[in-house]
Amino acid sequence: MNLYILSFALFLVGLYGVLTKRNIVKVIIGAAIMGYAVNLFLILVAYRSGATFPILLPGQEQQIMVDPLPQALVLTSIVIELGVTAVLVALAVKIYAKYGTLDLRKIRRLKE
Amino acid sequence: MPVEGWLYFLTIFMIFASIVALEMKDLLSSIISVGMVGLAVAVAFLFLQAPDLALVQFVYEIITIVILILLLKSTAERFEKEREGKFSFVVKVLFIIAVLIAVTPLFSVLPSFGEPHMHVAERYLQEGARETGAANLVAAIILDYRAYDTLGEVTVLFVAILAVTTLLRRKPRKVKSDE
Amino acid sequence: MNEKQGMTLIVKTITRFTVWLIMLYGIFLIVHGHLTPGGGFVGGLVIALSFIHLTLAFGKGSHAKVPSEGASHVLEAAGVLMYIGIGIVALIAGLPFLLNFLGKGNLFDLFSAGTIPLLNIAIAMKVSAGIFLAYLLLTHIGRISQEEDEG
Repeated sequence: MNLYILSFALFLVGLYGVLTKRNIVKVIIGAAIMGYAVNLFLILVAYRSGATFPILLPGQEQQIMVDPLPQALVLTSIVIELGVTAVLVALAVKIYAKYGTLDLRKIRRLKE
Repeated sequence: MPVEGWLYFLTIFMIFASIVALEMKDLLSSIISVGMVGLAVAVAFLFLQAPDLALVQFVYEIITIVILILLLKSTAERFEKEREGKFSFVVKVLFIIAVLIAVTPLFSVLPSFGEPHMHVAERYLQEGARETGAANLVAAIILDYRAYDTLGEVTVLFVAILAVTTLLRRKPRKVKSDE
Repeated sequence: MNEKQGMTLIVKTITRFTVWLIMLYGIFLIVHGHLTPGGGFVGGLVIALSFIHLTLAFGKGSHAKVPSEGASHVLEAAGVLMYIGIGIVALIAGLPFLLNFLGKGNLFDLFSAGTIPLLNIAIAMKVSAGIFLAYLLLTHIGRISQEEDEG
């Protein structure tokens, strides 16, 4: 058991939500959990034991720092997730306006 | 308690909270549970020495909860109604566990926790402050070394907001433009 | 005047005190983005949250000075154009696109690090206006779909 496998388990919990849940709100929540798991995994890989955050402080010698590159990439990824969530919520609102339900199975039936 | 112990605790807490969020019948409760997962991720980022990310994750979480509650408010659904049968549920959980066991050996290829490969990052750490003049090396990377990447990110967010605008365009405005 | 809109008097009174602090914190995060944790993304999100706070407390159509939908569109596009414009200025000067062409200044000074603070401001404009626009559209659609059901 190590932390990488635990964060992968978190990813699989989100995947379970996306694959099996019928309510659109639950599907959006599953997608958000998958995003958290991926971000957490990337930052776990970047951690260096005993190191400090990658920001210089005035009047201090430069110490050992953690890897700043994955932090910079995850910073943009979180904001993109916010945009993705907004698009998913907009789609759900339109689906509700058209079909009157948030249940994916009922929507599939109504299409036929 | 060392950092690793706290991270084990937080990750197991996240897994349980996300299972609760997915299995709760009341949709409002499940939205609040997913908020708990996000805040636990923010605390984990603090333990992993990433204060920039902890701030962004914290604010992102609040806005996500506001947006999801707006979705609930604009619809009439409060509860998840249908449940699946016991047999298919067991099959799906077994499938997920099988995937976890099958993928686990691949993680041994990665560098072990606490000892990353830092071929590129060493240069950023040594020369970053001198070359860009910024004390925050994360800001130096996203806005100087990899500004192209950030330009792409800004474009993605712009297109996402454009998609929301197109999807939720108000009816009255459309009628006006037809006149 | 519009006591029936928004939340109760207690919430409105507290909001008058707190919303400026939230907005000021957002501006601090943007301006000090190259020195301390923070930057354009989180500062923009905090400013969007302060607008959302005002709209939630006072209701729509109140005297609260929040950007309208049209103004949000303009601000968002202006942020993207400012980002690209800074890149093109470097291109005109004969340097690579998006190069940090201004003087670096002293480390730990507020006005240092060349174009990084300017790019932070551009990103903050884009993010705050975009997220607030998404919030405004989502609140409108709830009202519209109810009107369609009734009509």
